[in-house]
Amino acid sequence: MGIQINGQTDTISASDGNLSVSGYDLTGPSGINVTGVSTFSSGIVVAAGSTAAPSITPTGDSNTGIFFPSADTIAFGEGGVEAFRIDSSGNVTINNGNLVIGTSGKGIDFSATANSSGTMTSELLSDYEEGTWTPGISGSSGGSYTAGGSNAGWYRKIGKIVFLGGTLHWTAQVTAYSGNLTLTGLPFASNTASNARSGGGLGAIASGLTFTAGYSSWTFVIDPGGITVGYPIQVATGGSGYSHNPTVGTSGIVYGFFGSYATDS
Amino acid sequence: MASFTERHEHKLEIIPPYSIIQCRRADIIEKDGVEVGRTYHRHCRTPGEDVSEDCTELQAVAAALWTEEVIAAYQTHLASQLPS
Repeated sequence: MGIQINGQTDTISASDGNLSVSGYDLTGPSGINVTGVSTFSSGIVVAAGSTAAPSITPTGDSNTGIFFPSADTIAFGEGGVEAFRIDSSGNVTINNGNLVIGTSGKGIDFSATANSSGTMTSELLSDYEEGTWTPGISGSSGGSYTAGGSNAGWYRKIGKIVFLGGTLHWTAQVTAYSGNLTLTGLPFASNTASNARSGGGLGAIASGLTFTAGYSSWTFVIDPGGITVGYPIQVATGGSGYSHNPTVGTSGIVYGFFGSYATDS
Repeated sequence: MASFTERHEHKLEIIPPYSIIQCRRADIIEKDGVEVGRTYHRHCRTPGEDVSEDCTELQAVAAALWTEEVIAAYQTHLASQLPS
């Protein structure tokens, strides 16, 4: 069944609750209200809108929505403030908020960029975290020392790389270390790739760590294998040769150690 | 006057194949029930390690995952990893 207007037929028709219009504009001083899902076969053209009054808004919230501040630019506003924009160059700007990755393992994919000459295994940056951890000293076969007030550790994890550092401070020996000297408490387990070691260094040793005969410098190694300790190591005078067994005092303080290592996740 | 409270959330991550438990404790400061600050502190627990002072969630996970076989396998793995 059609509705005739000005002698025209089939320009406006209604059936089964749907209104169809062709060849004419629908205009009205108060706009057009439609109840139900609407289909626009040839798209929708709206005014550019503005931050204060976006051109596409939800019911009852006239200052939140989508607007078009300039040519080839899309912007989203919240409460009359621009929150997000895609400019004519494809750049995305978040004005006042964070980009939140809602699913673990997802992130930023750099696979469009050129690759190095090494063996590339992933181009997805999927993690960032910063925080603290509690370093300590022990031995691979045991040992315990009481942490002092300056004992503290920090970490930053970027993708699958952990950067860490801190101050190592102990005030008493509970039991002497045995086996290899270890720095305990790493915030993440190391990666499991064979021989994928990493390391770092020790800063200013005020007291508590001294060389045994034949050694004269320090280094710090973190082994792979899903382990959660690192190894402070004394290096032989001349640079070739090392030992896991320096002399550890009953108290000591190392102002600064640092390292970085890979994780599996 | 505003009321400040502190609470903790623990996030546990299980690292295969030896079920190492990575624990991230979030220290959350709330003002009148609304979060105003958060910091993270991390530690790891390896199979067989003492977890009696850890959160109950970690203790439960350790009890469930760290069988004698898992602990033995991890110790064997550790021994194979030690540098000479």
